[in-house]
Amino acid sequence: MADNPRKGALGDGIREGERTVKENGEGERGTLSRRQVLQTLAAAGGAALIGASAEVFAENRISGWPDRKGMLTDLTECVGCRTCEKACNQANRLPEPEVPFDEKSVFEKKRRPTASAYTVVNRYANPKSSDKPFYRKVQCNHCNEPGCAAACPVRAYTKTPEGAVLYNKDVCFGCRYCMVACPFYVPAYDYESALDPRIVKCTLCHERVKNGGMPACAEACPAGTITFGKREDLIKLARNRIRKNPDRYIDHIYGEYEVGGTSWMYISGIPFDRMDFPANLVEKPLVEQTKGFLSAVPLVLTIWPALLGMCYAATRNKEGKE
Amino acid sequence: MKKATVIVVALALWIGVSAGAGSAAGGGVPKVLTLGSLSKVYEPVPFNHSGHVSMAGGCSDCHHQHGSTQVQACSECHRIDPSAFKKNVNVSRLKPCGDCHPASARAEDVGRPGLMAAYHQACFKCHRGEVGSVGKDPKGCTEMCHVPKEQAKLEEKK
Repeated sequence: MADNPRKGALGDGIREGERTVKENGEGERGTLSRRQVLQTLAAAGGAALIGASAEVFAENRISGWPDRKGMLTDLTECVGCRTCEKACNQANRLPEPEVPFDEKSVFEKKRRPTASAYTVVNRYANPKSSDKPFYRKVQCNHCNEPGCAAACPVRAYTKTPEGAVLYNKDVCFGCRYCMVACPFYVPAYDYESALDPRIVKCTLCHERVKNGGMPACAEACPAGTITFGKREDLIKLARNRIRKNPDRYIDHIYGEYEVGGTSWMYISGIPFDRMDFPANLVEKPLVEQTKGFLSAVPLVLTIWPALLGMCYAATRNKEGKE
Repeated sequence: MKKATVIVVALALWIGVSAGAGSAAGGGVPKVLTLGSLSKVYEPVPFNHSGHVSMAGGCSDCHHQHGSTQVQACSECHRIDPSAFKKNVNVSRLKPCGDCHPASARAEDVGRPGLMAAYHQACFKCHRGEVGSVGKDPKGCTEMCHVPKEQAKLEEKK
């Protein structure tokens, strides 16, 4: 008796299932597949014709390489000592600067990274206290999905699992699209060497990091402004600091979401646009802005000539018969 | 469960009592410290501790201390291990900064500044903008605290 209900239930289940298949089976299946085929065709055709498949790929936050490293710059801590600039210069064996590293006159102008300085520090007025200006260290932010890499026609840029975006000068032919594509105006062009032109930018000290070290600037910073670690840990650290000191920080981690997230992130005491951070950046990776269009280009180039050719051939034949 | 609560309360009381005794005694406060364990570019820094004690509102202005705004989770400073407990909870003597802040910051422990950063952050609370030109001029570093090693060598030769 005890076994029977179970058997019955099981049997009914199977029978019900069979019934469903039998009842709905052939007719439903036929229409569904026809509809599916039509839908797929329409979608593929539409994408091929107008390149509308972009939205399918959008809103992807990259989840790969969860252990990738990053940097957090706490702009409230920086005292503008320029030790990071010096450490970067030495670690990358860059030429001696024209103005020594303990010179404050460089702050009179806003600087950009150049071929001989992968990082520079700029000064900004503090609206609350003129005695305590703010400083912003500028260098490559090592985007999660870099615009420079997307724009490069020869794949000279690589996003590494450690977090750095690296540039390979051996394949670069000097088109400088990356300089235009970078939302942070970082890649610099070495105009000095006419025979061996190249792009120059921060490497996040990739070799040092791979060997278990940390980037030279983070190691040298005496003020604890630059923290190196796992990107996930840095976001937690930044949130914690903002939560504990709401008067000291504005509630924004720059680089957490900007252009799809960057390896280098910042927290600040004043709004970021007052320190010349681009404030109008989308949260989607820049690649998403162009991927739909660019992926349609090969399709348009192959399918459109064939389609148009067929139309032409068809109409010409008619004309010929008449 | 009850036993554990009693022990914890007893420990808390004991810490409180001995802390009071320690601060009342007030002995063993260093006068001038030489901070040189990290010295690479600059000469070791003679730090006038007693001078700062007379100016600061209390130890907690610079040190992590019970009841101060800089307080950490207990386990940050005290390992609750019976054999080490007595040694660790010795409130009349503060732990040297370097016991917790490593000489070089570690990527695995992002919340803990390295020793150099910890020292400087304590200094910069007052010595940034208000006292001296640190924060306004990169040369401010050498103005009050740091003598570059090269300069020290040159002066020796003279």
